[in-house]
Amino acid sequence: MILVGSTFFLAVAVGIIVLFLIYQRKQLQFILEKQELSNHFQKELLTTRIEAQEETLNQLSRELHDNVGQLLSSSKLLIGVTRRALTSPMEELKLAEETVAKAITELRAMSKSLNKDWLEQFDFIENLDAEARRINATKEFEMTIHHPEIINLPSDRQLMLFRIVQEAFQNSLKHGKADHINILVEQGDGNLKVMIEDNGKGFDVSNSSLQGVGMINIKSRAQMLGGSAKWQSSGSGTAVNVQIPIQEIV
Amino acid sequence: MAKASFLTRANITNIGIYDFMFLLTSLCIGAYFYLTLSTFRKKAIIIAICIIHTVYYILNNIVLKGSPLFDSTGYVILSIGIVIMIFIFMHQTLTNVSDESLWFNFEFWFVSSLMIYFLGSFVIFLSFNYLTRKILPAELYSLNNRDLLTAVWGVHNVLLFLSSLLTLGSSIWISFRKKLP
Repeated sequence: MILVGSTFFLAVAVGIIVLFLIYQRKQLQFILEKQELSNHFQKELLTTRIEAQEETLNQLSRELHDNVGQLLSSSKLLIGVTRRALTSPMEELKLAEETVAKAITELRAMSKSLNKDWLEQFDFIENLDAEARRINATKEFEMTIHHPEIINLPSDRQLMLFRIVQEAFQNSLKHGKADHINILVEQGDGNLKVMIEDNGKGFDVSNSSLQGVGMINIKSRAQMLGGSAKWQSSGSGTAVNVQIPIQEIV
Repeated sequence: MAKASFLTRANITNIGIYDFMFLLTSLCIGAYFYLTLSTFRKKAIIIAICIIHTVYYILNNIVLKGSPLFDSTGYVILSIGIVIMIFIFMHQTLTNVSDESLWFNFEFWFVSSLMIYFLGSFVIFLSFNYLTRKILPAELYSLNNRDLLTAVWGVHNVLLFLSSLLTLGSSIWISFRKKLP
C-alpha cells in the first residue's frame, strides 16, 4: 500500500515535470513565433517608411528640376535678353544673371542628389564626393572626406548608406550649427564603418527627447542594413558612427 | 516489553538529529526559494511556511520534549510546505518565460529533484509513525514486520538517491553544455 502510494506520488512528480517541460517548450515556441512576426512587421514598416521617403524625395527632385529649375532658367533667359537689349546694361543685371545661373547649378546638383534613379547609376563614393563639392561650393561650410577607392555594396544598399550620411550631415548643419564636417569611410574585418563628425555645439545623447526624426531615420536605415548607428557628443562636436556588416549584404 | 523497547530506542536514538534536520531542511530550502523568487507576495508565503515549521519544531521538541519515534507528522508538514514552495517557483517560471530552455536551467532541475523526493516520500512520512507504532509492540513484533519497515525506509532512500542523482546529473549536463562552443 505504501509502495503503491509512493509510486503514485513519484509518478505525479515526474508527470508534473514532463508536463511543465512540454508546456514551457510550447510557450517558448509561441513567444519566438510572436517575436519573429513582430520583427518581420517592424522590418516591413521600416521598408515602407523608407520607400515612402524615397518616393517623396524623388517627387521633390522632379519638382525642383522641372518646375523651379524651369522658372529659374526662364528668369536667366529673360535677364540675358534684357541685358543684351539695353545699350548700357547695369552691372547689377549681370550679377543677377550670374546669381541665377549659380542657383540653377546648385538646384540641379541638389535635384540629382535627391533623385533615386540618378543616384543608382553611381556609387556611394562618387555621390559622397559630389555632395562634398556641393557643400564646399557654398563657402559657408567645409566638408572633408576620407574613403577607400570603392566599397563592395549593392547599389540599393549604397543609396541607403548615402541617405544615412546625408541625414547625419544635415543634422550637423541644421541643429549642430557646425561649419566643419569630417567623413571617414573604412572597410575591413567584414564591416563597413562610416564616421561623420562635426565641430558643432553637440547635444545630450542620453536625452531621448532630443532625438528627432533624423536620428530615428539613421537608426532605422542602419538597422535595415543589418548594422547599427551610435552617437558620441560633447560641447565641441558630435560624431555618428555607423557600422554595417559587409558579408551580410553583398 | 513495548515500553522497554521504546525506552531502549530513546536512549540510543538519533531522532533528535532527524528533528533538527527537519528545521535545517526547512530553513535552508526556504532561504533558497526566498532568494530565487521575485515578488514580495511569494517571498512572504515562503517566510510564513518557514515560521510554521520553526514554531512546530519549538513546540514539538522544546515545549513537548519530542517523541522517541521518528516524527512523521513533522516531516509531512515539511513535505507539504516544500511542495507549496516548489509550486510557487513553478508558477514564477511559467509566468516569466525566458529565452533559455528549461533543459539547461539548473534551478528547474534542482527544484524538480526536490519535488521527486518530497512528493515521493510523502506517503512514507505519512505512514511511518503509524507503522512503527503498529509493529513495535511485542505481541506484533516480528522479523517480517521489521523487514517491511526497513523496506519502506529503503524506498525513501531510493527516492533520495534518485533526487540527488537528478541534481548531480543536471549540473554536470548543464556545465558540459555551457562549455560547448
